[in-house]
Amino acid sequence: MKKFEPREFKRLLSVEELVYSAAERFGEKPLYSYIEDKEKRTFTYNDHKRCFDALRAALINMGLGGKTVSLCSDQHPDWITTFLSVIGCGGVIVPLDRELQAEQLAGFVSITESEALFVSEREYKMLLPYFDTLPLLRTVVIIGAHPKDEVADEKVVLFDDLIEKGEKLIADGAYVPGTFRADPHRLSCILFTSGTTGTSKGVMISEYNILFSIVQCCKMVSNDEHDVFVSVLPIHHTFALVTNHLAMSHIGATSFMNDSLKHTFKNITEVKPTCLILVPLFLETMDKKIWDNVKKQGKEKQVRALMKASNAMRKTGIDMRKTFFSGILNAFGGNLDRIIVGGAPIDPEILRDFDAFGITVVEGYGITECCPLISVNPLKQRKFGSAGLIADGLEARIAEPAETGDGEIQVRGGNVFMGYYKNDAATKEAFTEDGWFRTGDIGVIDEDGYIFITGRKKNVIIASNGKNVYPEELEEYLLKSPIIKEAAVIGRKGDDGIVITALIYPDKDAVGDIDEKELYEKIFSEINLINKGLPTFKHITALEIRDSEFEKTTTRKIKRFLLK
Amino acid sequence: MYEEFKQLLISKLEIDPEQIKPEAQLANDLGINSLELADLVLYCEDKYGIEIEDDALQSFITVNDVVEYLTGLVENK
Repeated sequence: MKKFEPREFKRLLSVEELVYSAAERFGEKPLYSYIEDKEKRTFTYNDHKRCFDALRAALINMGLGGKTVSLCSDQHPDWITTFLSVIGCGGVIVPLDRELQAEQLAGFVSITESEALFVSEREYKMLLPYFDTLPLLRTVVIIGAHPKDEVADEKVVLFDDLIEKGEKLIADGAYVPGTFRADPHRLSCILFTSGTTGTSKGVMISEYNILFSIVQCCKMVSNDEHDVFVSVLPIHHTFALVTNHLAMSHIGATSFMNDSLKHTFKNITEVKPTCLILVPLFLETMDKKIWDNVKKQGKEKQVRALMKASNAMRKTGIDMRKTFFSGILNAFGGNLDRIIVGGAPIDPEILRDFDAFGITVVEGYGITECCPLISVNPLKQRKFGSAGLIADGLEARIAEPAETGDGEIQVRGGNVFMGYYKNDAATKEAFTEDGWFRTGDIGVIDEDGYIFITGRKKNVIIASNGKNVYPEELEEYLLKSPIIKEAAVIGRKGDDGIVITALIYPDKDAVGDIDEKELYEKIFSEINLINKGLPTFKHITALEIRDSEFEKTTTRKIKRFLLK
Repeated sequence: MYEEFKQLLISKLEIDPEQIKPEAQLANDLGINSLELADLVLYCEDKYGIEIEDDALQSFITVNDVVEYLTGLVENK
């Protein structure tokens, strides 16, 4: 295969340069469009720079420059402003998953010693009872619309008021934008890997890691300033944050912020994106929807015949897909021709379907610890079934390969994280003695530098929405039940993807004398109670009850490798 | 409401009517993913003239959970 030539992109030295250079090049062009108070609004590249500077001025004035700040809100331009401004004045930003419960969110604010918290109204109301339990928390900032008369506490301020304050500081000369400098290799961001403080690892990322990853992403993909996105993945998700938001802002694209999962398909039809960044769950659902509609219209045979004819014509250089499949393409707005997908493995059949309809799906592979990009298929040099070409500037190797060539994928480069927050043992375990990061994924690298993932060393279960489910977290919840003595959670492959399965050894004394069916129902009702407090992708949907205890290691840990 | 929702599951997601029971779990028994559920919810919003909070989606585990939630909203309209 011909060697891929990455695009030329200059190295970025600071988040300030990211914001400033984009404003200089794209000015009044919309960076975002979004819905607030049921109205469509626009946020330009110039707005981005103005708010970035104003928020930095306000944070420094309030003594929050260089401090740790937690962030938990829905998709909003203020989220991105907060993320970049905190880093841009030397601080540490902690983006949190808004699907977590209040107690868990408060736990993360506490262990990261956050002095400020940026939240949307929903999270503000959820966390209100916890504010008194967080002595280090000095300021709570509400993002988005919020009526002023409801703000009672003096530590609570509105985001818009902070921007106003910052602009005044700049106008008065009390803060001079463009003068802040800090070591780019310092800690700038902590990303947590799962839902509880007990089982989660905090991935420490530097400003340099983020900037390196943004440039890497821009070099590898084929997007430009004409691209329009609908951003549908949660904004704190590293894949969405770095690719859809930060890298695309460097390229000059415009994103519509999806206002609700319910409106995803409607928004895609209306906004007419040219490209989407998704996880496999969306493609699986879209593909199913397409075929359901085709079947309802009684056109399955006709469409399959057209796909064959179209594929054959393409081999001779004639591309009729826009004409043949206009009905399908119009459901996505009519302009969509690329989807970048990552986060979980995808069924190759779906890739073939989309390709035949005229939408190229580009697969990539990443991991939070690599901020996240490791590899991506270049648009015009894709390899089917591959997780893509190792990103420019990153080195990858296969450790101790078996005869088949499979082994652990290990990487080294500017986007590899600094270590785990307050967890030296896990950090030590994550790196080899010669400094390579152990991804925990098993794969092969071919002669052209393309990665093929074949397995996984870690316990983590990858849901089809690309999110990681850590068995240890679910086991922690299960073991709180008085009728469960031992528990292990695994991901079993089912017809429709991964089934999160609880393997349970019940506490026979606590359960009492009941038959098998009653026992199953009793344990499942406990599981349902746990599920109610969890985001859907973490729901335990299958149960297997064991008669005997799990086999354990000398340190009393369950031998997980025996459970598959 | 149960019958109406059952019909919706059959017509929109082509789920086997035999499998649909009030206690059937949306994900486990019927294979409905979060995006399909969000799409169904949007359809119900239009059909009944109600607004369903995004957060509610997370609490729907069984068919009955959705039916009870919808009934409550429609009755209090």
